[in-house]
Amino acid sequence: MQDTQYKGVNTLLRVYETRLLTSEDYEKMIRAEDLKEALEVLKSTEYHINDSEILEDKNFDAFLMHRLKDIYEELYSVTPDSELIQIYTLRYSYHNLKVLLKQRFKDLELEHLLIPIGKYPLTTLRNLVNTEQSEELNPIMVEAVQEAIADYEIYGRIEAADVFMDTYYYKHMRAITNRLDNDTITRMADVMIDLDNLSTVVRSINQGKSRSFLHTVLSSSGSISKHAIIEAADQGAVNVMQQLFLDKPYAKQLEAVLADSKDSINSMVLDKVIDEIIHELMEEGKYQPFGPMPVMAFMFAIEKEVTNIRLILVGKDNQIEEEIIRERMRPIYGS
Amino acid sequence: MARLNVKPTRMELSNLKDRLAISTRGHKLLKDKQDELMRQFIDLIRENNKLRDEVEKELTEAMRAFVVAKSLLNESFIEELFAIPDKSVSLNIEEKNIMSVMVPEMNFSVNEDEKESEMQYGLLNSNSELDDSIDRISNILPKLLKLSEIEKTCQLMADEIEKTRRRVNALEYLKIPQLKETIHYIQMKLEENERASITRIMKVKDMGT
Repeated sequence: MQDTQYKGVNTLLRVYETRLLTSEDYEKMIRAEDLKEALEVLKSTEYHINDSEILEDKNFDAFLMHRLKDIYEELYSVTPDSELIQIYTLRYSYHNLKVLLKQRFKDLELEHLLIPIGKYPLTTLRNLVNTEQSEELNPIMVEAVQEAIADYEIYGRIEAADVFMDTYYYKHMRAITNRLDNDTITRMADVMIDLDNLSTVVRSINQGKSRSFLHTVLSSSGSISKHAIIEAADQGAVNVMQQLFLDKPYAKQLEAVLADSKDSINSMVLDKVIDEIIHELMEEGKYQPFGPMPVMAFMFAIEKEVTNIRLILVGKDNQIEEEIIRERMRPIYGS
Repeated sequence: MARLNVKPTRMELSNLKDRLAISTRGHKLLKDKQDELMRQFIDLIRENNKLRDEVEKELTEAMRAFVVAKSLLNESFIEELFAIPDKSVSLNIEEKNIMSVMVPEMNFSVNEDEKESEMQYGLLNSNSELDDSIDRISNILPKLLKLSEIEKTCQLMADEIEKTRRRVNALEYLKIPQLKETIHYIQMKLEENERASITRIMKVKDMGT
């Protein structure tokens, strides 16, 4: 794919990005006295919300997902390579597959949990789960579903859905980034997978999980081998970080995740630092006139915007202190 | 105090005396029962208050942590994680008798579904704060279940105390005074009759002389 093919969409993105929320918008929302006031700020932005309805049902995800869906649909229609968009929408597709698999395993009604975002329509995914075959979908996805169903049929473990979908999600993402062969996007995928693995190690150790658990949940699609992570994890999560992550370009930023006592990792901060590191990568590429980076940066921005809005609204609705909201805020595009 | 609408006969008198004896004994027994119920109830209430404070405090913190964790994730993601619970709690209720109040004795058994793996939920669409809040909520669960048992017991005992109090009062302020008054009335009436008949006999005797 030629980088110049992106010139049209990159110009369009300059228009889209003006519709993103600015730091001032966020500031106003955080300072709002209550949910009503925060929603008032949101009303004057791209989010055309019906605040009285939201005040009543507190269903923030409905309008946030609606906005995401519109944006991704628009991006699919203008971006020359749809797999690029998939890097972000795969998360929703694999979520939908999990829901559909659980429905199949336990004969439950979980339709309301499906999120209609992604390259493939829900009916295609549903077909895959029902028939275990699909001509249309990526073979990685098909394999994921087949493996999960086979595992469930042999061992009867519901969590097969979670384990296989998570593993194949990373595998699928890696396959896409390999094909795109763009240096920054590859780095982004490395950061995402490696640090998600680190986060998994921290969380597993905190919960006292075993080595075999790590084998199951860690992804082997990252730049650091899964085996090395598991070996290092025997001496604790801090050891994993010091042994395997210090030579990374983002090592400096990672220091922030060490707790004050230096003997443990604050996983809440880690989650945030992952976003900050990716944000920096995106900042580098977002004004490139050609190539896929601006689209990536924009998708990252909109995902984080939705996270930030949800954080503020839920926070305001539950009278969570400003400080707690602020320390969880994700990076803002253009700031 | 209204006396009972009975005929002033010896038969009635003896009946009423029996009833009075039973009522007095019943009153004493019920009064004892009420005292004992009160004593146990107060102990339970104290325990209940303590437990409730604890549970409420921990639950508020846990829910708060959950809200904060939730705010960073799509709600559908969270619901999907827990769509199929990995634990099921079965409840076996037995009845326990406290002063003739049948209170429930709940035995909860948590079945972890013969799980082989330690996986509770997928780690991709969750975060460490969610782990923490779920952990807290699971830790509160046994206390919460205990609290439900104690609260139900308290309710049942309160009902029983209320009922017993009403019975004691009815006996003490209504039934027993009524019986006493009626007995007194019948005795008076019988004595009056006796005196009347003595007088009549005396008169008849006078007439004969």
